[in-house]
Amino acid sequence: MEILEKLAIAIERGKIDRESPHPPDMKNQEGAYELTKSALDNGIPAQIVLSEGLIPGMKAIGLKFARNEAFIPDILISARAMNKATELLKPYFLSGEIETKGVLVIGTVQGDLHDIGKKIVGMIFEGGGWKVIDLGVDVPSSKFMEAIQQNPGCVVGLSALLTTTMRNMQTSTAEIKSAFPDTMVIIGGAPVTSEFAQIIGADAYFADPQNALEFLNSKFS
Amino acid sequence: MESIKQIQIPVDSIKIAPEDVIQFLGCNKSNCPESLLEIIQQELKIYGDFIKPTGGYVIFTDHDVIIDSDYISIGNIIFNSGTIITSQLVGSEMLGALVVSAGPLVTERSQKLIQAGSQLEGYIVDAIGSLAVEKTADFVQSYLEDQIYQIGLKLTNSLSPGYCGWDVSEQFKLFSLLPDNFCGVRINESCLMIPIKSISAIIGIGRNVEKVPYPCSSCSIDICHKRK
Repeated sequence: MEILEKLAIAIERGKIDRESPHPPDMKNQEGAYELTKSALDNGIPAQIVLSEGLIPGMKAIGLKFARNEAFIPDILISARAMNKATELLKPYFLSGEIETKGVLVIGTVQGDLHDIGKKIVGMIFEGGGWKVIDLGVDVPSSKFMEAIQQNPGCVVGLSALLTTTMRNMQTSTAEIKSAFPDTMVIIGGAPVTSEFAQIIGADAYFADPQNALEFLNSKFS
Repeated sequence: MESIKQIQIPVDSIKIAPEDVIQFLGCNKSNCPESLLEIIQQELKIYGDFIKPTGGYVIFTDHDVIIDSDYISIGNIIFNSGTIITSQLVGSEMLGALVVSAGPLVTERSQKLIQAGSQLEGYIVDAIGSLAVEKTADFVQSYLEDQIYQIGLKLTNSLSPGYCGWDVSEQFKLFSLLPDNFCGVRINESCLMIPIKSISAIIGIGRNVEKVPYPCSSCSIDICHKRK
């Protein structure tokens, strides 16, 4: 099997490196770390290792999650393998040899402290080749605006988990669109709906991060 | 029966099995990766370090309480709770306002782990926190049930703002009925309880009340996670 194909499987299955015991049926096999190193040592460009080895692996687990065939722990396990492999790609990111697909600025809106769902979105997007700037939780509009100014052309992702804080999405979206009308704003979170996105003038709502990634990849390719 | 009670809850009263966490994460025993189970077991071994359960209740007697078709009132506080909530409270002679928490340390630990790059561990700790607060709520409810059973009374289900069409912003009204920082729980300006792993609820008490299944079939909120 071709090395990039093996790499994608290692990511999807969460096989970090040869020593890691998970998954049991891949015990003592090369993991994402060794396969990435091997690919680079064999002259495969870093950009190709990322786009044809690592990203397809995260895409596979992301699609399974979207179909309820995998759960958040599975994504986190795959993300571990991805993180280990991308340690080897850091120099290529720094040199600019690997280009990111875009910049996603994410944050949980003002008044809301929920963090984990947003973090998972960030992981999926990083695994999909995006640069993610996570502003954290309880983020006022001014902080989103500052991040947009520092990252022209970025996409903004707003998260909220309460019907009370969802209302702050409206404020943030309005202020962003007023100052930066060309900035795409996407929203998500348990109480949020596509109807709400339309009402507040956001560009899209997504129930799961993989669909958000596929959508933005299509817009920014 | 005391009308305001904060309960001392030993952490080993809040029993969480690995199977509980596996189920909460959406897995089952057959598809749960060994590495996941190991982390769950590791964190459960030390959960007493970061789960600090607290809880209590305030009881409002019948001359303070009105339960109408789509609202309830306690003193001069009117809850626009809607018909689904009030239907669960029919027959209540008294109402209790409950607050429980798993404490702040579980969220601190979860966030610390995530920031350190251990997202899976952090997510599992967060799940343990969610389970712990639910079991703490069960404990407080059982405690209250034991108290009222002695005087021939029963409990309804506990009902929280944010569910069954009851707007979550009505938490402000619920907290206005409680002493400040009751059981170490407060509410921020966005109606978020601090510590995050906390639950507040209203519960009905009476001779002729029942715990009935949550009426999901008559509720319009499709996205409610309680349906899942």
